[in-house]
Amino acid sequence: MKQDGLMYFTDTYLTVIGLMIFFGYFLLILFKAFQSSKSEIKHLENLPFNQNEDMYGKQ
Amino acid sequence: MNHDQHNIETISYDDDIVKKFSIATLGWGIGAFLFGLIAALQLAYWPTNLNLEWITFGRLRPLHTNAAIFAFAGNAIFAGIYYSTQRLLKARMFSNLLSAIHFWGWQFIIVCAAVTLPLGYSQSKEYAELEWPIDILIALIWVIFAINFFMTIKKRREKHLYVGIWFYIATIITVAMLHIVNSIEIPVSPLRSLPVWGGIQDALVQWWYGHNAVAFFLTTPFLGLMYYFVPKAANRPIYSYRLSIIHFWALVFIYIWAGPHHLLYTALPEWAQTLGMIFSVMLWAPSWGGMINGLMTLKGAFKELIQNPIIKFFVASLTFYGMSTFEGPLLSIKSVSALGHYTDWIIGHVHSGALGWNGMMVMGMMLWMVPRLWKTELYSKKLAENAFWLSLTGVMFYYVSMTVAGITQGLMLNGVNANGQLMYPDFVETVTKIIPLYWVRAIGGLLFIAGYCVFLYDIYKTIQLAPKSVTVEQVQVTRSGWQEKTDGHRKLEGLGLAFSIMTFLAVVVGSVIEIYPTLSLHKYVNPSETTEPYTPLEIAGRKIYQSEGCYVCHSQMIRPMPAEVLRYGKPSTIEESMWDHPFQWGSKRTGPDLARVGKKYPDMWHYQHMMDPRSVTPNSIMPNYPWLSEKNTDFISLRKEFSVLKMLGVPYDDATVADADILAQKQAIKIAADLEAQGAPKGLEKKQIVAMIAYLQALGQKMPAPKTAEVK
Repeated sequence: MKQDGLMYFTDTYLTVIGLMIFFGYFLLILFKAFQSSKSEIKHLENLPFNQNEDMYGKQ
Repeated sequence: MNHDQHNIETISYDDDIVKKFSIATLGWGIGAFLFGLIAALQLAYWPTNLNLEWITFGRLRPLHTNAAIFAFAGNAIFAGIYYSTQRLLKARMFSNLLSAIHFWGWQFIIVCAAVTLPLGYSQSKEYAELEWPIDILIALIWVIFAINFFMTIKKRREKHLYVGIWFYIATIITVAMLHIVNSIEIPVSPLRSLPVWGGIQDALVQWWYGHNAVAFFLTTPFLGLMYYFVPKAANRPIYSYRLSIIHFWALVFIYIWAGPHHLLYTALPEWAQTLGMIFSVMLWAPSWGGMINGLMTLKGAFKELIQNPIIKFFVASLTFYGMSTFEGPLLSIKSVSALGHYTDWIIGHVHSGALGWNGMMVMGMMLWMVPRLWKTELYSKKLAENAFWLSLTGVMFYYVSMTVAGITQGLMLNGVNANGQLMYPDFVETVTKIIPLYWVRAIGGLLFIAGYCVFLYDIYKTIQLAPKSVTVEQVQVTRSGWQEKTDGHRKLEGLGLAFSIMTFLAVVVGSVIEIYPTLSLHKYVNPSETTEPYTPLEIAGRKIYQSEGCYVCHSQMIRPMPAEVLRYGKPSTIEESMWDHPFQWGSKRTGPDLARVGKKYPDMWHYQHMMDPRSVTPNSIMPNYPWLSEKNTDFISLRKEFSVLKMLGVPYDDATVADADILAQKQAIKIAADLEAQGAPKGLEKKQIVAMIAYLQALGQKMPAPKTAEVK
């Protein structure tokens, strides 16, 4: 059964490379995301609010 | 105070283009939903096909899916992107002209689809049915949109790209890549082409495209819209910006790998199926990252959920997103797929995403955006509430009925008794069992449309309230973020080009790793099992099979499961479809699998079945195809079709290519004579029905004859 399942699994190095790139990059992003200071994050998350269109559409 | 903030500039946003896309969304939406309702009724009550070729289910279903995805969702995405991008970047769109070309070009594409699909011009690849001239037009218009978008990023005043913009970048880059790769085709005539991909290559490329059309057309852009419109509607920032960084990168990287979960237990190499399944399960985490981020934004503001219908739409939308992204990975597990694949469970799953996630997000976004665009107030909060409850009830009816129908039919089709025999050997009895649920689905669709009409009325009255003369609003903006020294992910967010390249690399890795190995098809083909290609008449019939959309109800792929082998025969092999351009494995079985239907019934049975399916299969819900015995087969184009097939590597000799039309007519005369001898009308040799019968009789008959030793 296992051998049948792996019969065509001939390019394992490609899968390994893909997974290594993903996990390496994921860890880097994780590290960078938590490296940002609270004030920076506050600035970024408030970017949609630097506008003046909210005077309309009040219900 | 930052130096940037001294440089105040007065600009105006291009809201005219947002209005245009919004109106297009609202208009095409009703068309897409009505096509869906008619298709639902056709399954519940077959005479609704009306014996009209243009609206028969096989042609109407692609029209419905294309209208829902590209007309309704597509226009909504563009409306939301044009609105939010300008405000997030503090810049007017780069070019009014490019915006206009984008708008009118996209509407022209939709009109082309609405004309060609009912006429039967189809590549028969799901969500990629449109023929080559329209494919080229889509690529051109998409590039124009991309130029307009990226040039706006270039001239932006806000250095940092907000999370919504990242999702738009991922959408634009990936959709371009998916569309171009999946649409590499050789034209045969002005409205006919053959894909360069064949057999398992075509299957893998198509479902890499098909799944990621869901991912990068119906998910990433909507997440981008969610990240802008949910905080705006709730008047509070997104719950966790850090979570958005992590879930964005994980999502774009993982999604691209998941396509092969549409091909579990097929002839696709096992390693590709395994990769597709694993990455689909992994996808659960980043998907829920987005849902949690959206829902938790409302933490502490749940009073809004009670009072504000827009928040209701957004919360329902995110809940459906969470539900369908839980169910998607579940259905991607092989043992669950064995039950759910090819059944209405998948249809229910898709609609919980399309109606629940996309539909409700669009309605919430429009209810928030339209009053602001037209400088007025929402006409009626009560109508918006009613629209919400009606459409929510509709989606629930739809989802529950189709999930129950799918599981019921899956269990019946897989049922094997203690003697090793099928419990329900007649396929049609598994269909008649779920017809009551088809009616419930149609009622669900009707309720959703009723809710949508109430919503449309509310929007219409809101626009009527708009002041008659509106001056272009000037806004004051400052350049910000350009003087700051940044590092980490924030630095990357300030580098538009670098960010886009990183996104491209994230989606390319999975694509290359999955598609590259199958380019060497010979690795997977057993030379002793190589099949014969189809004859000219069979290819003419195959063309009609594609044109009628037979693939939307019939698969050509027998899975290696006991019930399937008992019902249809040996599991399908790679070699059986190796010359198929395009592949016709299908994804749904409203009727039985056809991979081995050849020679199972006499020609006359097929003739009667196509003219009136109920004459040979009582209770069948298949439409009649009377026009197949009236319309002539296109023999003339066969030489060109065969020369293209030969160019693509199908082993035809020069004589076959040169005489394709003559050979087809010779075979047609024989079949027509056989039909006539059995009581069919005279003179069918030129009719499409004969070519169709030739093709159906060839299915599963092209394998090499067993060697003597094997026979013994």
